Amino acid sequence: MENNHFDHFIREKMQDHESSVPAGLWDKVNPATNAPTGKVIKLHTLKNWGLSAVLLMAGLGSSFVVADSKRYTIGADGNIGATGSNSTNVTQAVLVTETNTIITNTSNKVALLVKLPIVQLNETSKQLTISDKENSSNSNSNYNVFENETFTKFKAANTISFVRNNNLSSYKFSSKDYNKYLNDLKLSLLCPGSNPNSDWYIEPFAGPIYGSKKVTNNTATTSYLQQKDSSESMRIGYAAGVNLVKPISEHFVLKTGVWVSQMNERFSYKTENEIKTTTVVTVRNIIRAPGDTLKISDTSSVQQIGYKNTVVGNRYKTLDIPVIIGYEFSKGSLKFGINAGVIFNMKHGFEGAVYDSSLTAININKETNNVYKTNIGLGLYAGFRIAKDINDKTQLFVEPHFRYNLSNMTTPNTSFNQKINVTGVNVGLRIKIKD
Amino acid sequence: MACNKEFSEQFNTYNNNELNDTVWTAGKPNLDKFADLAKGLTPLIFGESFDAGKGDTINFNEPISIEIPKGSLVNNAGRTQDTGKARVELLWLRKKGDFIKCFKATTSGESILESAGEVFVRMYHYYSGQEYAIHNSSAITIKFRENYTLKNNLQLFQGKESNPLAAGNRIDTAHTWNRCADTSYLPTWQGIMNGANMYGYTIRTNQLRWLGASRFIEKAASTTNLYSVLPQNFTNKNTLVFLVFKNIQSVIAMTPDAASKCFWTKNIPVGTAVKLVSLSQIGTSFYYGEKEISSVAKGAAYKIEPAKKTIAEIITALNNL
Repeated sequence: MENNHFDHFIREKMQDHESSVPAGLWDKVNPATNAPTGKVIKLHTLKNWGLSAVLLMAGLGSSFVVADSKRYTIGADGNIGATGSNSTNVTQAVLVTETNTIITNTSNKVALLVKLPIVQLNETSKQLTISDKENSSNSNSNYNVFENETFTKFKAANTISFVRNNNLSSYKFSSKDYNKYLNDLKLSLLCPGSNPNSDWYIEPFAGPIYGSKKVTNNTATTSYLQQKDSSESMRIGYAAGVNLVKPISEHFVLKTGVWVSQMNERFSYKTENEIKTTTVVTVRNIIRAPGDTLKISDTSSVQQIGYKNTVVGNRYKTLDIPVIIGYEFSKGSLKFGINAGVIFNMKHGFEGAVYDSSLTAININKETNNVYKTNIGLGLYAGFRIAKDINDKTQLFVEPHFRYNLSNMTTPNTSFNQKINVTGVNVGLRIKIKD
Repeated sequence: MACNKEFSEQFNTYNNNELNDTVWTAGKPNLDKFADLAKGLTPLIFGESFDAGKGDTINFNEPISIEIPKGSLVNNAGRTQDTGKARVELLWLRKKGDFIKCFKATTSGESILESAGEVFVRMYHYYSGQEYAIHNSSAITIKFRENYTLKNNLQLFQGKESNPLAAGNRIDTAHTWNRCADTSYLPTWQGIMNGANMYGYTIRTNQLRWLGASRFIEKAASTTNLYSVLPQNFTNKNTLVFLVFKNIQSVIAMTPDAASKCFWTKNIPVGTAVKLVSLSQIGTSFYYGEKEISSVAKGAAYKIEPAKKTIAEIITALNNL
């Protein structure tokens, strides 16, 4: 449905459009001998974005597009070899479009453009060459339409791609490349000069985390801190969340989302003089007289006294909203990213046990917690992302990360100050949700 | 898994704690560990000083008095103590709970006594603490009140103690009552004492220490053994069990049996209303248990479930027996 809307939009915008012809354009055209048999685009009034639009529409109709960094080429069968006869004649960077071939490739998506001529852009000469299909192999129906300024803007648009080294014949393009090209093209048609990347992504993720605890003294005794230190040890926890990702340029992305995490801590303590009561059945044989035995089966409780080693799993839970900026780049089939930002804690909770001032372990839950803050403030985030495409809309990524909390998690009245910084690895998917 | 709440408890018993000792001893239990309990339960001891050469009649604040004739005291050398300051101490056990507080059952051998009261009296040199005796030709007179129905056939019994005497607060497990050679019935009295009209008994004797105004209960036509069991924590090393008759002033100390891990006694009239009382000291903790039996069944066993109590709570319970 969305593509149909786009098609209608293009059709409405362009079907009655007549561009004014720049001065001197027609002087450069030889209508008697080089008039194309197909529809001829009047380029004499091309302005910056108008030129871009036309060329990008031409690109839609082309069988392949030669890209510079992205190496876009679109062919009827996805193989540049099928249409390579047009482009292999170009020794410099060129954009090549071809009529008709788009029909089989995109069906009704670009039906408007099926009669467009071949357009060739020569980067060296700053010239645009337009010809119909039949004459394209002759290269004798060319139109030099570009001035330097126009060329520069034309080149800047992401929808225009160039190729170096003329290796088109060996490159095969995927449907992803094709879709990307179409998306970029649409945006450039509508908003020339704007960010061509309109993609939105979500990143659901989860992964293990480990907290590094730092405890400093406030009003606690030395023995208290020693006892606390010997009783507590961090354990593997987990983090999970979902990010909303917006690319803001070719390499930079902006992220926010909702994160939850749970850091686990093992709290073990020993309590003395514990009474353990056990129900037992006792059978007594009372000999009342020779041959007269009274058998008494008695269910009663027996108490034992001793010490008890108790292990409690303490939980530190957080709910956060991050604001992350990332720089991403590709190398080979992998994509890498460096992410950094600020984490805003929305809620922090603790469940478990701590020592009170008398070194007696007391249980704490969210109702009785007066030791730990309910909001631990800001944290700084840094992560390194490694991703790999698993299809045209989804990436699998792994992100080792570190979170540094700026504030203590303990309340001011607590006898010690505690801060936990977190290291972890997130594993998740980046899923394209909007083109 | 780390995401599950980690929680575990491991209980380790103390090796040498009495509460963990559930083994009955086949031998004679050492009751020294009851010292704290015995000390806490001991009733008020009356004390008064007097001139040994003159003698005295001392009325205590309670309805009991003692008359010490002139020249009745002799020292350990056998000489009459006719000068100097002396002191008399008197402990009066009037009720069944009092008997238990002092671990003095009302039994004479295997016979059950009904007692109107038991008195412990001693006299000694006020300064040196040297114990006095009563001259053979003299006698002291103790008058005390009967709280219940006056009985006309009580006899004087003397407490037989361990040899040597139990020191301090040790429980004298060898204690029993022997009827005195003079088997005549104790005279009764009625009159004003401490400003109130009352009645009671008169003990006239030249013996000191434990004296009892008691009588043997009539042997019932049908008697039985009675057994009592307690939870495992309560053994013959830390527990004493008494049988208290509901309608007469009699208390029996039940005998522990290590083989069957129970306490028992014999010659209990079938159908009698009794109450079983247990006193325990385990470590520094005290336990008290009661089991009321409205009618003793033949050869039956009854279970007592002691509970941890304070000394004050135990005293209150004993006073209400």
